[in-house]
Amino acid sequence: MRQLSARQKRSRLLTVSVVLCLLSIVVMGTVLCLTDREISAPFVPPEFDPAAQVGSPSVSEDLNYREVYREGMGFSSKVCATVTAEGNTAVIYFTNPKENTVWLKLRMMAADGTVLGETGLIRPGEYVRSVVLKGVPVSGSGIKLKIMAYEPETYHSEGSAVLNTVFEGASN
Amino acid sequence: MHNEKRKTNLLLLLLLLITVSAVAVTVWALFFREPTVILAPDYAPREEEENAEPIPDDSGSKLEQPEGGGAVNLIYMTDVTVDLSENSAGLLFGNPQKSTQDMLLQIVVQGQVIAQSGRIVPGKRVMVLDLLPGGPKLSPGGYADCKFVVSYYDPESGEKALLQTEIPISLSVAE
Repeated sequence: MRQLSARQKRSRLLTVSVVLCLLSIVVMGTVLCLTDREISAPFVPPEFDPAAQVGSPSVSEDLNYREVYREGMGFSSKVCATVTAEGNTAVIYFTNPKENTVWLKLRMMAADGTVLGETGLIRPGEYVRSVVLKGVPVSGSGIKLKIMAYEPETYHSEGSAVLNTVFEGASN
Repeated sequence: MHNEKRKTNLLLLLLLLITVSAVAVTVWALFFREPTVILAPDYAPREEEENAEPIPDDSGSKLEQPEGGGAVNLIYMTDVTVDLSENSAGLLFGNPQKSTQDMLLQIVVQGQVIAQSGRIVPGKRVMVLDLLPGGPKLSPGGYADCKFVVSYYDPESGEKALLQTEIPISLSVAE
């Protein structure tokens, strides 16, 4: 039997190592592709806001409480355009007028779209005074108040409206 | 000679490192990799219209849309026939592939909705719609003040656009 030289042995070892290495890379690539899965979280109906109160609030003029409505919208709402902080909450007096036929909820976002907090659903004729914030934004920073409308019972979208405003910080 | 042996050893070490790393990544992917979870939608999804069918010879790139908006294209005929024996409406309404929004069609007769589609995705059309159960009673003949009301929905979020389109139609009812 022919004896392999040390050089030939190294050469064979190198060849086998290269093949194993390439094989492991191919297997890794295939497994990464096959295990790249996405799971869609199912829709979870939002809860009604436990702090909702029936009626129309009496709001200080300083808070610039006003109607959010544009022609063509299937609903209207009222909210404070001057948003102030009380501890870790923002005072908004978000109102779903009794003339509406939709359920509403309000999502407060930073200018970059980060969600700062949101109310639960409120029925027509109800309002919520404030929304709990995950983080209180800097006074003077731009915020968005996104008002989202739901078809009662089905939770289908009935449209949304966004009010751009400024976070005023702590009220005096 | 020594130099060559040293180079080979270094190369072998490098190959071993790459192989071990690849095996480690493979084991992680097989046993420990978590699937990407897509956030739950804000709205309950609408069902796709079951009577929808692909629009023949419909192709073309999507329309350009402004940021935060949408762009749509419609195909429709304004003649609609209601067949009372079939309890359905015969029509032509399509959402071409070029559109960037899903659509929902209502047939409204004198202010009352008689039929409503499910979600019509781009590239699909409807030729027939079932009349709404419990809808207004119709008698044979022609009707004035009839229209299509088209609502638009973001395909990803399911959010309804604030704008709607109303298209006057001619509606006749046959037994």
